[in-house]
Amino acid sequence: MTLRRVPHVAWLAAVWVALWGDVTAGNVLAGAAVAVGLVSVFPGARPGPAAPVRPAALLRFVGFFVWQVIKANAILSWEIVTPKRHLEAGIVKMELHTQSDAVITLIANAITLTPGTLALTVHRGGPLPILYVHILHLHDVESVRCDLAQTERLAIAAFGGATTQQRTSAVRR
Amino acid sequence: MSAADLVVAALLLVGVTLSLLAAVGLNRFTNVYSRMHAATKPATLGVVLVAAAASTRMADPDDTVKLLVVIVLQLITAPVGAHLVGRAAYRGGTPLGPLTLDELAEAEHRRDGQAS
Repeated sequence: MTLRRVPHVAWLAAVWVALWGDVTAGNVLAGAAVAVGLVSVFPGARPGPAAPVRPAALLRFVGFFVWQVIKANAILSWEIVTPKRHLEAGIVKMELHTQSDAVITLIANAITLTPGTLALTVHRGGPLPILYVHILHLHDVESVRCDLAQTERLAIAAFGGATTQQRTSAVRR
Repeated sequence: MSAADLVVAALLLVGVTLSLLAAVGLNRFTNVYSRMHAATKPATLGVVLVAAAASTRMADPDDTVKLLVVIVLQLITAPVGAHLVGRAAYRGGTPLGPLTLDELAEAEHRRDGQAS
């Protein structure tokens, strides 16, 4: 337990208190105890250095994400109720222009919740982490790649550090 | 019935329908990966919409907070679960069904080639 873990513990304790719904001394203490226990048992889940959050970029990311989620549900619902099964599935790879575990997790989660895409695995070791994504519809690979890149770009714009962003624009150019 | 009631009713109906569709999708799709698509997207949004609708109707604000925590946790955990099932299935060699493109297999081939 180092001081760096304090925000992590405080956040977990806050969720605990919110779930019990009452701010009492007992709840806060129990929450803190559970949080310290969790952080000691899973030291790997360490929050990285706090990245600056850009509010405007965050709003753009959330807006795009919500729109993609609605689209995903409309498309998938239609897929489920129509009997024909001409699914053209596939796995595509995408390079991620960030090294931050938190941002990679965010991108992977966002991709899994959006249209016909499911994050399968991340390979690290190369110069850039590579995310492999299962695609339900590969009618148009390029438009799929374009959507994936858009998700990544907006997530990095909202949460990525300045250096990461410079690298991204350098690579895109 | 006020406009707010109508909105809440609509949220509940859409949420329930999506949850039902997720169940139908799980049955109808033919392999692990397609099924995970059905299990993550409509099921997640379904739960989120139902919880959001219910949270506006709670007499006790504590319960509203609880439902909001449910929404956040659902959005965080559903994709993680789907990701782990998908990765486990791929590593376990579960048949993927017909694939038109598999860049992961290409990468693993290359990696195996370098190793030998």
